[in-house]
Amino acid sequence: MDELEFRRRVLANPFELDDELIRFANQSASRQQFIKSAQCFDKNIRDAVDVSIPEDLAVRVILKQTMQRQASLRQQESQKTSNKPWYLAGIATLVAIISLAYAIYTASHHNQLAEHAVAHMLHEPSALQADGTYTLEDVNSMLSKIGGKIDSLPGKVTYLRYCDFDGEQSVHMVFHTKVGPVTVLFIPSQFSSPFTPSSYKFNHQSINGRIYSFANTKQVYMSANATLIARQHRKLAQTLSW
Amino acid sequence: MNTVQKQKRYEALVQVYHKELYRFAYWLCKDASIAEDVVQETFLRAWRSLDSLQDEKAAKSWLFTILRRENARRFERKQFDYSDVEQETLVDTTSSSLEDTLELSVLQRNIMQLAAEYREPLLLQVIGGCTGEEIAQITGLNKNTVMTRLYRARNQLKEQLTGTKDLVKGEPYG
Repeated sequence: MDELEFRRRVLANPFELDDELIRFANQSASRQQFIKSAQCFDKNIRDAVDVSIPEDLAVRVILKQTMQRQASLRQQESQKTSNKPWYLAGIATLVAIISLAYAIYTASHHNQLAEHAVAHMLHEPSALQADGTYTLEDVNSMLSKIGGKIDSLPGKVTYLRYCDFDGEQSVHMVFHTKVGPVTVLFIPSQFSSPFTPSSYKFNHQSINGRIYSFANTKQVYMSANATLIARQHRKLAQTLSW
Repeated sequence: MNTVQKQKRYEALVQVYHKELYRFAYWLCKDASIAEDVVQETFLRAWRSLDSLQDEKAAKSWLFTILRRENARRFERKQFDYSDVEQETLVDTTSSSLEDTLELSVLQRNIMQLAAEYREPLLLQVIGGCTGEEIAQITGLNKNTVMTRLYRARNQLKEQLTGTKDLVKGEPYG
Protein backbone atom coordinates (compact mmCIF):
# COMPACT_ATOMS: atom_id res chain seq x y z
CA MET A 1 0.00 0.00 0.00
CA ASP A 2 1.23 3.50 -0.72
CA GLU A 3 0.21 6.86 0.65
CA LEU A 4 -2.26 7.53 -2.15
CA GLU A 5 -4.08 4.27 -1.76
CA PHE A 6 -4.17 4.74 2.03
CA ARG A 7 -5.88 8.14 1.75
CA ARG A 8 -8.30 7.01 -0.92
CA ARG A 9 -9.40 4.03 1.15
CA VAL A 10 -9.77 6.06 4.33
CA LEU A 11 -11.78 8.79 2.63
CA ALA A 12 -13.95 6.21 0.84
CA ASN A 13 -15.09 4.98 4.25
CA PRO A 14 -13.39 6.42 7.35
CA PHE A 15 -15.11 3.94 9.65
CA GLU A 16 -14.37 0.78 7.76
CA LEU A 17 -10.66 0.18 8.31
CA ASP A 18 -9.30 -3.27 7.73
CA ASP A 19 -6.21 -4.70 9.42
CA GLU A 20 -3.95 -3.77 6.51
CA LEU A 21 -5.00 -0.13 6.70
CA ILE A 22 -4.58 -0.02 10.48
CA ARG A 23 -1.10 -1.54 10.30
CA PHE A 24 -0.07 0.99 7.66
CA ALA A 25 -1.52 3.87 9.71
CA ASN A 26 0.29 2.78 12.87
CA GLN A 27 3.61 3.33 11.13
CA SER A 28 3.14 7.09 11.18
CA ALA A 29 1.59 9.67 13.51
CA SER A 30 0.48 11.76 10.55
CA ARG A 31 -1.45 8.83 9.09
CA GLN A 32 -3.18 8.22 12.42
CA GLN A 33 -4.04 11.90 12.54
CA PHE A 34 -5.39 11.67 9.00
CA ILE A 35 -7.76 8.89 10.06
CA LYS A 36 -8.93 10.82 13.13
CA SER A 37 -9.50 13.93 11.07
CA ALA A 38 -11.43 11.97 8.42
CA GLN A 39 -13.63 10.33 11.05
CA CYS A 40 -14.33 13.66 12.74
CA PHE A 41 -15.26 15.22 9.41
CA ASP A 42 -17.47 12.27 8.60
CA LYS A 43 -19.38 12.83 11.81
CA ASN A 44 -20.01 16.40 10.64
CA ILE A 45 -21.31 15.07 7.33
CA ARG A 46 -23.64 12.65 9.10
CA ASP A 47 -24.95 15.44 11.34
CA ALA A 48 -25.45 17.68 8.29
CA VAL A 49 -27.57 15.18 6.39
CA ASP A 50 -29.62 14.23 9.46
CA VAL A 51 -32.65 16.41 8.61
CA SER A 52 -35.86 16.06 10.58
CA ILE A 53 -38.60 13.79 9.29
CA PRO A 54 -42.10 15.20 8.60
CA GLU A 55 -44.49 14.37 11.40
CA ASP A 56 -46.62 11.28 10.83
CA LEU A 57 -44.90 10.42 7.56
CA ALA A 58 -45.15 6.69 8.18
CA VAL A 59 -48.84 7.03 9.07
CA ARG A 60 -49.54 8.94 5.84
CA VAL A 61 -47.65 6.40 3.76
CA ILE A 62 -49.62 3.51 5.21
CA LEU A 63 -52.91 5.43 4.93
CA LYS A 64 -52.38 6.13 1.25
CA GLN A 65 -51.50 2.52 0.53
CA THR A 66 -54.51 1.25 2.47
CA MET A 67 -56.88 3.47 0.56
CA GLN A 68 -55.39 2.49 -2.75
CA ARG A 69 -55.72 -1.16 -1.82
CA GLN A 70 -59.40 -0.69 -0.90
CA ALA A 71 -60.07 1.16 -4.12
CA SER A 72 -58.44 -1.61 -6.10
CA LEU A 73 -60.59 -4.22 -4.37
CA ARG A 74 -63.76 -2.24 -5.03
CA GLN A 75 -62.83 -1.88 -8.69
CA GLN A 76 -62.34 -5.63 -9.01
CA GLU A 77 -65.77 -6.24 -7.44
CA SER A 78 -67.39 -3.70 -9.72
CA GLN A 79 -65.92 -5.32 -12.84
CA LYS A 80 -67.28 -8.71 -11.80
CA THR A 81 -70.85 -7.49 -11.37
CA SER A 82 -71.08 -5.04 -14.27
CA ASN A 83 -73.67 -6.23 -16.82
CA LYS A 84 -75.30 -3.25 -18.53
CA PRO A 85 -77.53 -3.74 -21.63
CA TRP A 86 -75.84 -2.65 -24.90
CA TYR A 87 -78.35 0.06 -25.88
CA LEU A 88 -77.60 2.03 -22.73
CA ALA A 89 -74.23 2.85 -24.24
CA GLY A 90 -75.90 4.80 -27.07
CA ILE A 91 -78.18 6.66 -24.71
CA ALA A 92 -75.26 7.43 -22.42
CA THR A 93 -73.28 8.90 -25.34
CA LEU A 94 -76.16 11.20 -26.31
CA VAL A 95 -76.60 12.36 -22.73
CA ALA A 96 -72.87 12.94 -22.42
CA ILE A 97 -72.79 15.18 -25.54
CA ILE A 98 -75.76 17.24 -24.35
CA SER A 99 -74.25 17.53 -20.88
CA LEU A 100 -70.73 18.39 -22.01
CA ALA A 101 -71.11 22.16 -22.13
CA TYR A 102 -73.27 21.98 -18.99
CA ALA A 103 -70.67 20.18 -16.97
CA ILE A 104 -67.29 21.26 -18.22
CA TYR A 105 -66.94 24.64 -16.50
CA THR A 106 -68.48 23.59 -13.21
CA ALA A 107 -66.74 20.22 -13.13
CA SER A 108 -63.36 21.83 -13.58
CA HIS A 109 -63.93 23.98 -10.51
CA HIS A 110 -65.26 21.10 -8.43
CA ASN A 111 -62.51 18.79 -9.58
CA GLN A 112 -59.88 21.20 -8.40
CA LEU A 113 -61.69 21.66 -5.11
CA ALA A 114 -61.83 17.89 -4.67
CA GLU A 115 -58.12 17.47 -5.33
CA HIS A 116 -57.30 20.23 -2.85
CA ALA A 117 -59.59 18.69 -0.24
CA VAL A 118 -58.02 15.23 -0.59
CA ALA A 119 -54.51 16.62 -0.40
CA HIS A 120 -55.52 18.63 2.67
CA MET A 121 -56.87 15.50 4.35
CA LEU A 122 -53.80 13.42 3.47
CA HIS A 123 -51.57 16.09 4.96
CA GLU A 124 -53.36 15.89 8.29
CA PRO A 125 -53.65 12.17 9.02
CA SER A 126 -53.75 12.88 12.77
CA ALA A 127 -57.29 14.22 12.22
CA LEU A 128 -58.58 10.74 11.36
CA GLN A 129 -56.99 9.24 14.46
CA ALA A 130 -57.95 11.98 16.90
CA ASP A 131 -60.17 10.99 19.77
CA GLY A 132 -61.47 14.33 20.99
CA THR A 133 -64.98 14.98 22.22
CA TYR A 134 -66.51 18.20 20.97
CA THR A 135 -69.85 19.60 22.09
CA LEU A 136 -72.57 21.32 20.10
CA GLU A 137 -71.33 24.62 21.50
CA ASP A 138 -67.78 23.91 20.32
CA VAL A 139 -69.00 23.15 16.81
CA ASN A 140 -71.30 26.18 16.59
CA SER A 141 -68.60 28.43 17.98
CA MET A 142 -66.51 27.62 14.89
CA LEU A 143 -69.29 27.30 12.32
CA SER A 144 -70.77 30.65 13.31
CA LYS A 145 -67.56 32.38 12.21
CA ILE A 146 -68.32 31.29 8.65
CA GLY A 147 -72.07 31.78 8.88
CA GLY A 148 -73.29 28.33 9.84
CA LYS A 149 -75.19 26.72 12.72
CA ILE A 150 -76.40 23.25 13.64
CA ASP A 151 -79.27 22.46 16.03
CA SER A 152 -77.98 19.09 17.21
CA LEU A 153 -74.86 16.99 16.73
CA PRO A 154 -75.40 14.31 14.05
CA GLY A 155 -72.77 12.04 15.55
CA LYS A 156 -69.64 12.14 17.66
CA VAL A 157 -67.17 14.83 16.60
CA THR A 158 -63.62 13.67 17.27
CA TYR A 159 -61.73 16.42 15.46
CA LEU A 160 -62.58 20.09 15.02
CA ARG A 161 -60.23 22.77 13.70
CA TYR A 162 -60.15 25.86 11.60
CA CYS A 163 -58.07 25.44 8.49
CA ASP A 164 -56.85 27.69 5.74
CA PHE A 165 -58.32 26.31 2.55
CA ASP A 166 -57.00 28.08 -0.49
CA GLY A 167 -57.08 31.39 1.40
CA GLU A 168 -60.54 30.89 2.96
CA GLN A 169 -61.00 30.28 6.68
CA SER A 170 -62.78 26.95 6.74
CA VAL A 171 -63.84 24.39 9.30
CA HIS A 172 -62.42 20.86 9.30
CA MET A 173 -64.49 18.33 11.21
CA VAL A 174 -64.28 14.56 11.60
CA PHE A 175 -67.26 12.46 12.67
CA HIS A 176 -66.62 9.11 14.28
CA THR A 177 -68.88 6.23 13.22
CA LYS A 178 -68.77 2.52 13.99
CA VAL A 179 -67.67 1.82 10.42
CA GLY A 180 -65.03 4.51 10.16
CA PRO A 181 -64.43 8.26 10.18
CA VAL A 182 -66.07 10.79 7.88
CA THR A 183 -64.29 14.05 7.20
CA VAL A 184 -66.35 17.16 6.47
CA LEU A 185 -64.85 20.44 5.30
CA PHE A 186 -67.06 23.54 5.40
CA ILE A 187 -65.56 25.99 2.91
CA PRO A 188 -67.03 29.43 2.25
CA SER A 189 -67.33 29.80 -1.49
CA GLN A 190 -68.43 32.62 -3.76
CA PHE A 191 -68.32 30.33 -6.77
CA SER A 192 -71.72 30.17 -8.48
CA SER A 193 -72.89 28.83 -11.79
CA PRO A 194 -76.34 28.16 -13.26
CA PHE A 195 -75.08 24.61 -13.72
CA THR A 196 -73.79 23.95 -10.20
CA PRO A 197 -74.95 20.46 -9.25
CA SER A 198 -76.41 19.89 -5.79
CA SER A 199 -73.67 17.34 -5.24
CA TYR A 200 -70.44 16.44 -7.01
CA LYS A 201 -69.04 12.98 -6.53
CA PHE A 202 -65.34 12.25 -6.76
CA ASN A 203 -62.68 9.69 -6.05
CA HIS A 204 -59.10 10.97 -5.78
CA GLN A 205 -56.15 8.94 -4.59
CA SER A 206 -58.58 6.23 -3.46
CA ILE A 207 -60.59 8.59 -1.28
CA ASN A 208 -64.35 8.79 -1.89
CA GLY A 209 -65.92 12.17 -1.65
CA ARG A 210 -68.88 14.39 -2.39
CA ILE A 211 -69.12 18.13 -2.63
CA TYR A 212 -72.46 19.62 -1.64
CA SER A 213 -73.29 23.20 -2.52
CA PHE A 214 -75.39 24.92 0.12
CA ALA A 215 -75.93 28.64 0.52
CA ASN A 216 -72.50 30.24 0.09
CA THR A 217 -70.54 27.19 1.16
CA LYS A 218 -69.15 24.02 -0.24
CA GLN A 219 -69.35 21.06 2.10
CA VAL A 220 -66.78 18.44 1.18
CA TYR A 221 -67.38 14.99 2.61
CA MET A 222 -64.60 12.38 2.43
CA SER A 223 -64.36 8.82 3.59
CA ALA A 224 -62.93 5.44 2.61
CA ASN A 225 -66.57 4.24 2.65
CA ALA A 226 -68.87 5.96 0.13
CA THR A 227 -72.03 4.79 1.92
CA LEU A 228 -71.01 6.64 5.05
CA ILE A 229 -70.87 9.91 3.13
CA ALA A 230 -74.50 9.81 2.04
CA ARG A 231 -75.62 8.74 5.50
CA GLN A 232 -73.68 11.48 7.30
CA HIS A 233 -74.87 14.12 4.85
CA ARG A 234 -78.51 13.15 5.42
CA LYS A 235 -78.08 13.51 9.18
CA LEU A 236 -76.23 16.82 8.94
CA ALA A 237 -78.61 18.31 6.36
CA GLN A 238 -81.51 17.91 8.80
CA THR A 239 -79.84 20.06 11.43
CA LEU A 240 -77.67 22.52 9.50
CA SER A 241 -78.65 26.07 8.63
CA TRP A 242 -76.79 28.95 7.02
CA MET B 1 -48.73 -15.09 1.78
CA ASN B 2 -52.26 -13.93 2.57
CA THR B 3 -53.36 -10.30 2.50
CA VAL B 4 -53.10 -9.76 6.26
CA GLN B 5 -49.52 -11.09 6.34
CA LYS B 6 -48.62 -9.03 3.30
CA GLN B 7 -50.04 -5.88 4.90
CA LYS B 8 -48.09 -6.53 8.12
CA ARG B 9 -44.90 -7.11 6.16
CA TYR B 10 -45.46 -3.90 4.23
CA GLU B 11 -46.15 -1.83 7.34
CA ALA B 12 -43.00 -3.20 8.97
CA LEU B 13 -40.95 -2.08 5.96
CA VAL B 14 -42.49 1.39 6.16
CA GLN B 15 -41.74 1.73 9.88
CA VAL B 16 -38.15 0.54 9.50
CA TYR B 17 -37.09 2.39 6.36
CA HIS B 18 -39.22 5.51 5.92
CA LYS B 19 -36.78 7.82 7.73
CA GLU B 20 -33.72 6.77 5.73
CA LEU B 21 -35.65 6.91 2.49
CA TYR B 22 -36.99 10.38 3.29
CA ARG B 23 -33.57 11.75 4.17
CA PHE B 24 -32.05 10.27 1.02
CA ALA B 25 -34.91 11.67 -1.08
CA TYR B 26 -34.52 15.07 0.58
CA TRP B 27 -30.87 15.36 -0.44
CA LEU B 28 -31.58 13.92 -3.85
CA CYS B 29 -34.53 16.18 -4.67
CA LYS B 30 -33.39 19.18 -2.61
CA ASP B 31 -36.99 19.85 -1.62
CA ALA B 32 -38.91 18.59 1.43
CA SER B 33 -42.36 18.26 -0.13
CA ILE B 34 -41.06 16.64 -3.30
CA ALA B 35 -39.05 14.25 -1.12
CA GLU B 36 -42.24 13.25 0.68
CA ASP B 37 -44.05 12.67 -2.61
CA VAL B 38 -41.19 10.52 -3.87
CA VAL B 39 -41.24 8.47 -0.67
CA GLN B 40 -45.01 7.98 -1.00
CA GLU B 41 -44.65 6.78 -4.58
CA THR B 42 -41.72 4.55 -3.61
CA PHE B 43 -43.73 2.75 -0.98
CA LEU B 44 -46.79 2.44 -3.22
CA ARG B 45 -44.65 0.82 -5.86
CA ALA B 46 -43.05 -1.38 -3.24
CA TRP B 47 -46.51 -2.53 -2.16
CA ARG B 48 -47.47 -3.44 -5.71
CA SER B 49 -44.32 -5.52 -6.22
CA LEU B 50 -43.84 -6.76 -2.66
CA ASP B 51 -44.13 -10.37 -3.75
CA SER B 52 -40.91 -9.97 -5.75
CA LEU B 53 -38.90 -9.24 -2.59
CA GLN B 54 -37.74 -12.71 -1.65
CA ASP B 55 -35.01 -11.84 0.85
CA GLU B 56 -35.68 -9.41 3.71
CA LYS B 57 -31.95 -8.63 3.90
CA ALA B 58 -32.20 -7.14 0.42
CA ALA B 59 -35.14 -4.88 1.39
CA LYS B 60 -33.03 -1.79 1.96
CA SER B 61 -31.24 -1.96 -1.40
CA TRP B 62 -34.55 -2.81 -3.10
CA LEU B 63 -36.31 0.23 -1.62
CA PHE B 64 -33.47 2.62 -2.43
CA THR B 65 -33.42 1.30 -6.00
CA ILE B 66 -37.17 1.95 -6.33
CA LEU B 67 -36.76 5.42 -4.88
CA ARG B 68 -34.06 6.36 -7.39
CA ARG B 69 -36.34 5.24 -10.20
CA GLU B 70 -39.29 7.17 -8.80
CA ASN B 71 -37.12 10.25 -8.49
CA ALA B 72 -36.18 9.90 -12.15
CA ARG B 73 -39.91 9.69 -13.02
CA ARG B 74 -41.13 12.55 -10.84
CA PHE B 75 -41.07 15.18 -13.53
CA GLU B 76 -43.84 13.26 -15.27
CA ARG B 77 -46.18 13.57 -12.31
CA LYS B 78 -48.33 16.62 -11.46
CA GLN B 79 -47.37 18.21 -8.17
CA PHE B 80 -49.59 20.07 -5.68
CA ASP B 81 -47.96 22.23 -3.08
CA TYR B 82 -49.98 22.29 0.16
CA SER B 83 -47.28 23.38 2.52
CA ASP B 84 -48.39 26.24 4.78
CA VAL B 85 -44.90 26.64 6.24
CA GLU B 86 -42.18 28.78 4.81
CA GLN B 87 -39.58 27.11 2.62
CA GLU B 88 -37.23 25.11 4.79
CA THR B 89 -33.81 26.57 5.30
CA LEU B 90 -30.76 24.46 4.95
CA VAL B 91 -29.95 24.79 8.64
CA ASP B 92 -31.38 21.84 10.55
CA THR B 93 -29.35 21.33 13.72
CA THR B 94 -29.67 21.37 17.46
CA SER B 95 -26.15 22.69 17.84
CA SER B 96 -25.87 25.34 20.50
CA SER B 97 -23.07 27.45 19.06
CA LEU B 98 -23.53 29.84 16.19
CA GLU B 99 -20.15 28.89 14.81
CA ASP B 100 -21.21 25.26 14.63
CA THR B 101 -24.49 26.29 13.02
CA LEU B 102 -22.71 28.34 10.38
CA GLU B 103 -20.32 25.51 9.64
CA LEU B 104 -23.18 23.03 9.34
CA SER B 105 -25.11 25.15 6.92
CA VAL B 106 -22.04 25.71 4.75
CA LEU B 107 -21.44 21.99 4.74
CA GLN B 108 -25.10 21.34 3.92
CA ARG B 109 -24.85 23.76 1.02
CA ASN B 110 -21.74 22.04 -0.21
CA ILE B 111 -23.40 18.64 -0.01
CA MET B 112 -26.36 19.98 -2.01
CA GLN B 113 -23.98 21.29 -4.64
CA LEU B 114 -22.04 18.07 -5.06
CA ALA B 115 -22.60 16.55 -8.48
CA ALA B 116 -25.23 13.81 -8.28
CA GLU B 117 -22.72 11.13 -9.29
CA TYR B 118 -20.78 11.88 -6.09
CA ARG B 119 -23.67 12.91 -3.84
CA GLU B 120 -25.73 9.76 -4.33
CA PRO B 121 -23.11 7.20 -3.29
CA LEU B 122 -22.17 9.37 -0.30
CA LEU B 123 -25.80 9.66 0.82
CA LEU B 124 -26.41 5.96 0.38
CA GLN B 125 -23.42 5.28 2.61
CA VAL B 126 -23.97 7.85 5.39
CA ILE B 127 -27.79 7.87 5.43
CA GLY B 128 -28.58 4.37 4.26
CA GLY B 129 -25.61 2.67 5.87
CA CYS B 130 -25.09 0.84 2.58
CA THR B 131 -21.92 -1.10 1.88
CA GLY B 132 -19.89 -0.60 -1.25
CA GLU B 133 -21.47 -3.70 -2.78
CA GLU B 134 -25.00 -2.45 -1.97
CA ILE B 135 -24.28 0.97 -3.44
CA ALA B 136 -22.94 -0.68 -6.58
CA GLN B 137 -26.11 -2.75 -6.90
CA ILE B 138 -28.42 0.22 -6.31
CA THR B 139 -26.63 2.56 -8.70
CA GLY B 140 -25.62 0.02 -11.33
CA LEU B 141 -21.94 0.95 -11.00
CA ASN B 142 -19.07 -1.39 -10.27
CA LYS B 143 -17.66 -1.35 -6.76
CA ASN B 144 -14.35 0.26 -7.68
CA THR B 145 -16.17 3.18 -9.26
CA VAL B 146 -18.35 3.51 -6.15
CA MET B 147 -15.32 3.67 -3.85
CA THR B 148 -13.62 6.24 -6.09
CA ARG B 149 -16.71 8.43 -6.06
CA LEU B 150 -16.99 8.18 -2.27
CA TYR B 151 -13.39 9.27 -1.93
CA ARG B 152 -13.87 12.18 -4.35
CA ALA B 153 -17.08 13.30 -2.63
CA ARG B 154 -15.42 13.51 0.79
CA ASN B 155 -12.27 15.01 -0.66
CA GLN B 156 -14.22 17.75 -2.40
CA LEU B 157 -16.30 18.53 0.70
CA LYS B 158 -13.19 18.64 2.86
CA GLU B 159 -11.30 20.98 0.60
CA GLN B 160 -14.31 23.29 0.19
CA LEU B 161 -14.65 23.60 3.94
CA THR B 162 -11.01 23.88 4.87
CA GLY B 163 -9.80 25.54 1.71
CA THR B 164 -6.98 23.06 1.49
CA LYS B 165 -6.41 20.45 -1.11
CA ASP B 166 -5.62 16.94 -0.02
CA LEU B 167 -3.13 16.16 -2.68
CA VAL B 168 -0.53 13.47 -2.60
CA LYS B 169 2.31 13.59 -5.03
CA GLY B 170 1.34 11.77 -8.19
CA GLU B 171 -2.42 11.96 -7.55
CA PRO B 172 -4.40 13.56 -10.34
CA TYR B 173 -6.70 16.32 -9.03
CA GLY B 174 -10.41 16.39 -9.85
